[in-house]
Amino acid sequence: MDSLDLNAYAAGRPLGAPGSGARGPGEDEPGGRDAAFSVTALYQAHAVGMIRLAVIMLGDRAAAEDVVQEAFLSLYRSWDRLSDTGKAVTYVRSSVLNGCRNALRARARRERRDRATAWSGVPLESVEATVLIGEDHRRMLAAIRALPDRQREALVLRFYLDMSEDETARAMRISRGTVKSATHRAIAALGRMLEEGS
Amino acid sequence: MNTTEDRARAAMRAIAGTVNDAPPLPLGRSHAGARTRRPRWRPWIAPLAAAIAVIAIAVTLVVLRGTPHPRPVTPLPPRPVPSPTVPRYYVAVNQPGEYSPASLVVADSRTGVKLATIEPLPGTTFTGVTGAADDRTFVVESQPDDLGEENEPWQPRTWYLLRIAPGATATVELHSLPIPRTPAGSGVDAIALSPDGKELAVAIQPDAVNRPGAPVYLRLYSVATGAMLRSWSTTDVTAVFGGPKYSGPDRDTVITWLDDGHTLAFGSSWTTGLPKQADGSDVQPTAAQRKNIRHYVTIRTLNTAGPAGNLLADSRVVWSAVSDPDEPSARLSCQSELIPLVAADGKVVVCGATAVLHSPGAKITACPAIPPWKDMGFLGYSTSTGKLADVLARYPVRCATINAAIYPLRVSDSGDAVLGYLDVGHSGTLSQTHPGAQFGVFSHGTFTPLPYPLIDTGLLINYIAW
Repeated sequence: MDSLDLNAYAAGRPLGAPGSGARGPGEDEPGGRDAAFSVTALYQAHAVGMIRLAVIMLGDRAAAEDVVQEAFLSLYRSWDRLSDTGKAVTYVRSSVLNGCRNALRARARRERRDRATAWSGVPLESVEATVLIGEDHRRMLAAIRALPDRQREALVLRFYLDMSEDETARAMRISRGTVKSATHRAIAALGRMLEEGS
Repeated sequence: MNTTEDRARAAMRAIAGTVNDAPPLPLGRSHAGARTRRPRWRPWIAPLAAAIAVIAIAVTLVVLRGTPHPRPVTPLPPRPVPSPTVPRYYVAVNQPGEYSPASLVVADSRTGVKLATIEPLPGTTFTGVTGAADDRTFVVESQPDDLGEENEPWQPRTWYLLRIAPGATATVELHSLPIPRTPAGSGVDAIALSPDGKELAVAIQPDAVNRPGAPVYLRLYSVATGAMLRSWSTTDVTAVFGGPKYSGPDRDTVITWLDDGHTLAFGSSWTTGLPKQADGSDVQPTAAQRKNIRHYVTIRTLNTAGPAGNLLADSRVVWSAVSDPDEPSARLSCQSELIPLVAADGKVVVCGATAVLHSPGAKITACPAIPPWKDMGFLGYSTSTGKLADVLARYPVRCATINAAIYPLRVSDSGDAVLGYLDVGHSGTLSQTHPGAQFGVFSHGTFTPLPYPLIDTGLLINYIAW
């Protein structure tokens, strides 16, 4: 929120157009002006962090941006129905995780279908292939994406976002014991995969 | 940078560091860009499931020789186990691939030989299993495998009866059951088939998806007719689920039938004293705040022959424990995250246990500096006295990681042996003769290894049953 014009935000004016009275983004949308201001502010404050999270999950920058934008758009559409707007970031993070899960499943279905029809598509280029990143990191990230959904999400929330077991449990809507076991199994599986691949 | 955890952290930070900006948020396309969400329940599944009223699968026993199977632990050489505490067969829910629906695996506990793999109906996945005392009768639950649906854990459950007919040519049969499908949005937390296989107990929270603190129910269904025989409920979610329920298929409680055939035991665990932020999220406790944190575990029993009604008023606490994370001793105590198991005679409660090891003068220079160090084991407590009655296993851990795990999965009828899993993580080593992860029977200080179950998914109660 540091980069925002908080006075304008507090006064209900569109960000970036202080005092203009111009129509703010999405004013005609169901969420209304307040939703547009609030969601825009949240996006500016948290979008980069959410895209980073999605890139870890997906390895695909464009797909990560799509997932994060869709999560914020979903927040905007449901803003009036939120019982506690103070938990909007939690809502978005949950949407991003769901979106990543769905994107990975869609990708897997597409790959299965392509294999079944012997269709040779253009191989997906991961973001690691286009940036300077060490081989050890590439292998680790590939292994992380090969983990089952729950293990991968528990691992990322615990060890990338440094969330506590309780916070992770709430974010994933599972028990603390399940977080603990999923994290344990994720680490064990990563160790095995890396060992097998070496 | 030596541990897998460290390497994972570093890799995630490295790739995250490549993202430094975000594209503008196109709020103006929020309508046009809104994706159409698929219905939670595909209408065609219901008639399809009804049409396939009975699925009978006859499977010829096939001995698999030398077929490698991915296992999460170092396999131990399988050998016949004469222990009467190990039922012959198990049924497990297994997800063979990351995006595949879960199938059922039926296998021999003692030899590790697979008897059958049962694939779910198209568009569905298996989500749970529970067994009767005869080790031949099981009830399994299934739900739509609605990939892409964010509320997947809350899909309606349908029920099947699985029977194993042993012999030279083993046969496994699966029949649909008339037990009503659970409503969409329900959280099914635990299931337990009665010893005679005639009644199914289900811990359910019908409106869990919308209201995590909604009332919870313990319901009994007739396996033969599907009729709901009795139902108990409470609004005190903590007493059953350990708090508001946020998990669909995850098992935050355990239901056990006692061998009298009419008493159910169920447990919960919860934590108090955790410091919170204003929005309810956790904060790292200070040393002073840590002194106020307490972990509670409680086991209750319910006489199902009595009248239905209030789950708490009609049940009674038979065992409870409170753990103090700052307890300055090496006393082994139950892990608060795991619900202890109750022996069928109702006299013993068995838990997986750990303890922070405080050994003045202990030489630690040879170990990786990854505290805390812990002892691990399985403990049996008397329900009549509440006191420790039996140490089924105890292993001093020389160098452990925070990933140490211990899971009791089944207890012998008298509580003197436990079938379970114990692991100290990738960099830990156990003393005595144990190299690391162990799956088998622990009893009075002896360990009898068993072949690790033929599943890729986790070893949790209701995901595997004997």
